[in-house]
Amino acid sequence: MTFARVVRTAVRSLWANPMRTILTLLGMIIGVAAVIALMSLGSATTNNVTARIQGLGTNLLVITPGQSVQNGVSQGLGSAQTLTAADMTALQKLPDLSAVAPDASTRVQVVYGSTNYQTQAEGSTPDIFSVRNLTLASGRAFNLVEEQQAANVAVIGATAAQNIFGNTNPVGKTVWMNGLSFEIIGELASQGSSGATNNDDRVLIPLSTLQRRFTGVSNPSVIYASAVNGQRMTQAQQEVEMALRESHGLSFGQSDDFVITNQSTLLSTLQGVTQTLQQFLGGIAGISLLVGGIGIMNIMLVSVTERTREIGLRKAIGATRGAVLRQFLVESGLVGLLGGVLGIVVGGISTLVLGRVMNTTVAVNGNAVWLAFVVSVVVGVLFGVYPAVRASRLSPIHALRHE
Amino acid sequence: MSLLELSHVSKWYDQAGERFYAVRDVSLSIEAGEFVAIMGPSGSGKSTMMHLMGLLDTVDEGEIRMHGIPTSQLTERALSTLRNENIGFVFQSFHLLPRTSALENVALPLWYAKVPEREAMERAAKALVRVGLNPEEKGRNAPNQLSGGQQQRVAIARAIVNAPSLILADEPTGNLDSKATDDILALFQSLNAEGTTIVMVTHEPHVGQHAKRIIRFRDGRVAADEPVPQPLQAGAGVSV
Ligand SMILES: Nc1ncnc2c1ncn2[C@@H]1O[C@H](COP(=O)(O)OP(=O)(O)OP(=O)(O)O)[C@@H](O)[C@H]1O
Ligand SMILES: [Mg+2]
Repeated sequence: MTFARVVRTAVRSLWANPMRTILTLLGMIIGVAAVIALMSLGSATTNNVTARIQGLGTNLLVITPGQSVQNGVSQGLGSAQTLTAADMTALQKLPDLSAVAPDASTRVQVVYGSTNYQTQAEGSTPDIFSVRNLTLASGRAFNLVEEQQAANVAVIGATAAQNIFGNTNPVGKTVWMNGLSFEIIGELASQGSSGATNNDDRVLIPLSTLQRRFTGVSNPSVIYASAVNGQRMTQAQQEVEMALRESHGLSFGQSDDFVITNQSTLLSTLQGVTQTLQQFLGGIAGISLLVGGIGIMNIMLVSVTERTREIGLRKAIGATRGAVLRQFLVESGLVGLLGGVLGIVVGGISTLVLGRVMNTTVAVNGNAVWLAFVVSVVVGVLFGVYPAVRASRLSPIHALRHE
Repeated sequence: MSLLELSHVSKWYDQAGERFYAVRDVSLSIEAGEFVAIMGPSGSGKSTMMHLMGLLDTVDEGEIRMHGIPTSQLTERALSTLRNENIGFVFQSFHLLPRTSALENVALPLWYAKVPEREAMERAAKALVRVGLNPEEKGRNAPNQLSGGQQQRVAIARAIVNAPSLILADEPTGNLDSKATDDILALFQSLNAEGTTIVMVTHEPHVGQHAKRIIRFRDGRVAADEPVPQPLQAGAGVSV
């Protein structure tokens, strides 16, 4: 029998029971769609996380105070006040760092007209703009002179600007911060949030201003440093560690009292996590494909029983075992194939809809499409093997006499 | 060498601990070119005999040789090929495939013989014409859109389509009126004249008289085996 004939026969017998075929297909469709949707959303998440971290600067080193140990009890990360202005001077000399920016922050009350708004005031040096990849939507950044003079100038984040000024341009306006008047000289372009922190809900002011007007503390709580390029990250990190150990007077054998976070290691860790999550979701969806396959097997067994007389007749007039086997395998493979194709369509649509609902950019994952398609055809054929073998083993006369 | 040679063939069914012989110790041979009618009361083992001769069923005792080859030695694959290429079956209950057109039902053995698609359809159409059905008119009808007699003819067309050397027909005229019966018998006689061996089960003495030899069964045994002195000739005017 030609393959075209075998396929036609298979289509005909599937068509003979449309409802049953559709229900069996549904099992495969749901499985395939689930694999595609979950894997696509997973890879979209990975991409989003990657893009966001890269947006924060991949050459970035974040130096935070380590744990302070009091009476042998660890006080938790960041509990020590170990970063100093002297550290800054030491870091600025390092060859593999292109810029270093100290950072400290406090909550402030911003008043503009009748608007009263709580936000984070972050103090730093002009270098912060290059180190943290900050771009201005309008206005300008503060400069070294303003930093040295502790000028009352501020660059406002997008969310804070929206909440205080609405749609009017904040640049040039004067606001009250904790009772002191500040001139808004620039507005930051939106950066989006990383985790729980919204990077747009803040005002940037010179570090000296923050220290003198608000906190009174002269040590930075974080130091941001950027390496000259991505390749020099490891060297840069080592240099920072050496420099800080020296500046803190740590002797050999004493552990660091600061923590250096490397943005690119953070990135690969997070990517690893999201990829694992993606595979995990894909695996769960894969189980539903398996269930779909069992559905195919079930329906094929019913079909073999129902068509016993037909099988007997085919064998009587010359169908070999192989021919009967092929007929049933093509039939179950066809269910898998159809389920795969329809599942891809449904999965693609639901991915796009989900992306819209969750308001993230998603793209249908091409690998997931191929994987789901191949797996569904393989599942169809594999789960058809047992029923097909049973059909092919029927003795012709026994099958012909079957009621 | 005989086309078929049965020696001490038995077929039994075990029922409730007792052995029931459907065919018991039958020895006979059928030569190429014969036209044999098998007759006997209902339940005497005629259909069972046909299935054994057609290599659809296996003997419990004895041996069936086809062209001298002991068939019990053959693999399932070889049996399939033998059935497909040498034997045409007409079953007592026609066994046409549902949801499949008359033409496709007839073409089925050719497909399994890997005859090219176009040739298969042409030969199937010719076979339908030979049993007195117009392929243009009824070829596309599924079995449930045909009368009992028409289904019978389609079943016969399927049996002759691969030009087998042996046709085994179980009550081929069972559902036909006397005119249609005559047509089928004329067809068998002309096929036989062309050299095809025909074994036909019938319970109608008039039909049996068209064969050249009658084997009578009773309780699974051969009760009589005699030539027909003067076989009846089925009516002329049949499209052959
Ligand atoms: N699978 C089976 N199990 C038990 N007994 C069977 C089986 N198949 C056939 N028989 C018995 O074998 C005997 C012969 O059956 P067979 O079909 O050959 O009869 P037949 O001569 O063709 O009858 P009819 O003229 O009614 O078609 C019957 O008594 C039947 O009951
Ligand atoms: Mg019978």
